[in-house]
Amino acid sequence: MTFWSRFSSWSRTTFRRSRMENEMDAELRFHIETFAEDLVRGGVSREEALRRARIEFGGQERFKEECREAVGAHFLETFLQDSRYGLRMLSKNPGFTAATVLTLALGIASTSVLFSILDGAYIHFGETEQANRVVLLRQQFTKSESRTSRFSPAEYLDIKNARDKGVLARWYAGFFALAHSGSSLTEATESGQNPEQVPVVLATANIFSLYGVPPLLGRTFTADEDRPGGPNVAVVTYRLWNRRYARNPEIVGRTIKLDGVPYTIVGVAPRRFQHWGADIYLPLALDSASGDRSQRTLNVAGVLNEGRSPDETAPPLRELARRVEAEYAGTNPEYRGLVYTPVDVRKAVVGDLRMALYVLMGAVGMLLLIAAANIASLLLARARARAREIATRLAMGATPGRLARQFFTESVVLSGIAGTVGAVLGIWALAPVLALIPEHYIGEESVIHASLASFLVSSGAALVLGTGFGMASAMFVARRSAARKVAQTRTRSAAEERGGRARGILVLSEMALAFVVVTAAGLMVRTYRQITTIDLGFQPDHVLTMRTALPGLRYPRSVEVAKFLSELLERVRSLPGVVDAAASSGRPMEGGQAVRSFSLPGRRLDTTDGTATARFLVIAPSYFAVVRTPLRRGRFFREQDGAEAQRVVMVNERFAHLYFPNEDAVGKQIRLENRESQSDPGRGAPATSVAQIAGVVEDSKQFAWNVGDVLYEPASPEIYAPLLQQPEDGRDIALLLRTAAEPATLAEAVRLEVLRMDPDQPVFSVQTLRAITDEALGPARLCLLLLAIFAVTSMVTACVGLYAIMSYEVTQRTQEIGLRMALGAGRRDIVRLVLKEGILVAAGGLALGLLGSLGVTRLMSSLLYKVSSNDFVTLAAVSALLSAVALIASYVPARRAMRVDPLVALRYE
Amino acid sequence: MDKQLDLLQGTLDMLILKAVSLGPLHGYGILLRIQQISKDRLEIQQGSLYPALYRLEHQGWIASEWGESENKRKAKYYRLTAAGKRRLQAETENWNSMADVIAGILGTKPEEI
Repeated sequence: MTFWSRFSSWSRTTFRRSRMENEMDAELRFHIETFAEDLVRGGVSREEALRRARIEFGGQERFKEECREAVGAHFLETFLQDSRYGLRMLSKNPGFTAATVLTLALGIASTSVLFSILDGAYIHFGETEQANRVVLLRQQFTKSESRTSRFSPAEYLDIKNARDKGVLARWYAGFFALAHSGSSLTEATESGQNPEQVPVVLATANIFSLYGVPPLLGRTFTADEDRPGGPNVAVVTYRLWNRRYARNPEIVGRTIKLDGVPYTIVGVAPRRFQHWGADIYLPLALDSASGDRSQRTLNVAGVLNEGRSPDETAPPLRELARRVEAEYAGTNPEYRGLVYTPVDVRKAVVGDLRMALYVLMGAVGMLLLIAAANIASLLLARARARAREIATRLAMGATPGRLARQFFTESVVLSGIAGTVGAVLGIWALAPVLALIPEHYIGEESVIHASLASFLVSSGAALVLGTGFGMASAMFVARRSAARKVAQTRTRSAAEERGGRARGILVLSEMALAFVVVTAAGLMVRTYRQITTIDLGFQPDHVLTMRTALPGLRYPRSVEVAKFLSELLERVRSLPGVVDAAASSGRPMEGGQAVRSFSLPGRRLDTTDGTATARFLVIAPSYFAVVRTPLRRGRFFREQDGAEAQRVVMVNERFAHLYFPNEDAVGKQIRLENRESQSDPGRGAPATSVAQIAGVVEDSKQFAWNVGDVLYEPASPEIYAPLLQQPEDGRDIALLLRTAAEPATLAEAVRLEVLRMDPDQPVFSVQTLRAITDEALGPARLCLLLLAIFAVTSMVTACVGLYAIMSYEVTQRTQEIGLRMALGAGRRDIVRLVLKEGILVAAGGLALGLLGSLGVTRLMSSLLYKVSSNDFVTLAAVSALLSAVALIASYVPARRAMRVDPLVALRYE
Repeated sequence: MDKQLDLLQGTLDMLILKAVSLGPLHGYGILLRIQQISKDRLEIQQGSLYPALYRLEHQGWIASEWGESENKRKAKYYRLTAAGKRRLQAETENWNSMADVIAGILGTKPEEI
């Protein structure tokens, strides 16, 4: 016999099952009918002949079954039979089955959703292969303990030239520099200029080749265009091309205006090139002989050679920094102790979200563990409950192996259902979960979709779990039946004792596991509640905000800026539904706010150059009234704090506490230093000025890239200056309106008011303050919300599992209870007996769980907000909850058992 | 007619192989041929033929195809494969030597021991 014939026969039977059945029927029918015809020829009536033929042939179904078995259809048949049987058994226990399938499915779904996000956001971050090797550089001035990811032109050239001379060539394919900016984009045509504020990135020409991205249309900059005095050329990105120009291919060669300056579009960057968040790329046009070491406005990034990791480039970068330090420390004292460090951009973007994802993965793992424990106890419980059935089947000749396969199949069916439900749920839930995550936390270029890998992971998890539990209960059954053959008695055999002990351990560990999970859950829920009711230091509801920018070409002088703003505020205030209006250079909880150096006249700040930095906001007098930040000391700004009046500032409490500890900050003086960076050439830097602190306001929560910082770190020191005294900072201005009505409804009216004053003036980023706040706190909220959902799910799952296993334990003692009652035990005795044992196991589980949870919750203490990791309330509540579950689980079945007639109970098994 | 004999365990396969070695036959035909050769001395449960046929086909010793029977019906015909021919030969030799040994043992007279 050849392997091939065996295989082909097997495949025939497997894949042409119905055909085989038909043929078998035809063959047997032919036999019987031909036989009958022969009998008819012998003189028997046709009917009688058929009857006799059938009898002589024998049981057709039996022979058919033997035929199927003969050709190996047996396995499939058994599997289907077992599956059908398994489904029947599962549907006989609908509550527990549903709970188990649901918990397992939920675990699988969450695994696949999280895996998809992790995969898209982190593992496959960049679209081109090179994008995955981009490393951002940061310089650290270790002597002054400051660090920045910004470089001055000369500092960039130090690195780039070193690379060109071959110093870093082993590690880096090249370096590029870029600077972020924003411009008002208008069309250069007469009709419809359609103003819009767009993010602009000024970059060195090599950025495109280093990323390995050819243009979608036209070309990218040439090195020749990327020099001072080069032509005004622009590359637009896919995003802008798609949104504003409806993918018009004739855009190449067209002229657009940025802040009124004409630029020629030379090309369109493809969709995958959405790094750095730009809509438009312009040549950076660095002077290759630049000696500028003070204006740090550039991001410098390198592309690693293949196979290099960012970390391994740290030593050569440090070596380079030492050389730069040796050369320039004489003229630039801040270079002492200069260090360049590589930052994996993927880590920088995903940042604390990655940490949160790991934590979530942990939570999911725990949920899976709970689900696993539940399924294990379900199957074990079922195996025990079916002891009689199993004994009968064994007695009738079924082999233990056959029974084990039955159990195995059932658990595969169970996990198959759960896996399917979980996969569908996971695909369905991805979009809503993703919608909760602010874009910049994932990286705009990441494409996140339900990945095949995530499906494999989740279905793999389902299969492994199902197989595991199937095998476990199968082994239990096999061992038990083997022992049973020896014992052959209905009293408790050694195997049953072992089963009882196994169950006791199961209950104990279920209890302990449940305690840990529910404690973690409780802490997360409490944290979530704390964060949703967090005191922000301002009141974000009923505030509408938007931004506008007054370009230097149209409003060259500060006076014009101040005039425009005060007139705008006047007009907006008179709109119906507006309670009050204010302008400021930044909005609460908004990213990218200005920082200003300052010093304190007559005092020494403990830094190398005697200056420190603080967040710096320029505000209209009504600002604090609009956002409702309370005043702590002194006074708010007044309209009289104008250009000619005494210079004043306000500071936040943190500032006052840091720089004027134990004294009143009001009336003290601050010198606002000349800005060293980000000054716009041609507009002139504002002069150094000394201002008096007029008032101190309460700390507000501030935006930080790391959400953890927003929640856990104290506010950074802040300085507020009156708009009328610092109008230069009002060019890029935000409007804030406190409204009586729903704030979003006023957006259009305000926009029209702005356009009425200047039709070229783009109004953008129209958002309610609530939306800004939600966006900033979004990631933390999301993670906590997800954690809370998982936590509650785990809690329910754990309680269901605990109840099921404990009540089952008591149900198993129906016979014993009947015996005791028949011998005269009272109800009280029985209740006491059952509860005592329940309480013993529960107490053991609680003690174990308490120990475990103290360890586990310490690990998650960094996630908690204003909740201690061994929060007494939570621990007490969890203990109470689980004890209650344990008691009910013992009491209910005990009562049921007592109601049973002792005679019936004695026969119960 | 002589008394019918019950079929020895495991011999049905051999008989089937022998029956189809003389030419392709359908199941009923195989039954008739065995009865004809054995002169009706063997008792074979008719249905039990089919599991044996399926088993032999699965093992590759016989092959089947559908054809038309003498009474103008569609019938499944079995024929011996090359592997089946070798198998029949081996089984026959095996059976003969076994029969010799058994007969020898059973035919032993007391004085020969």
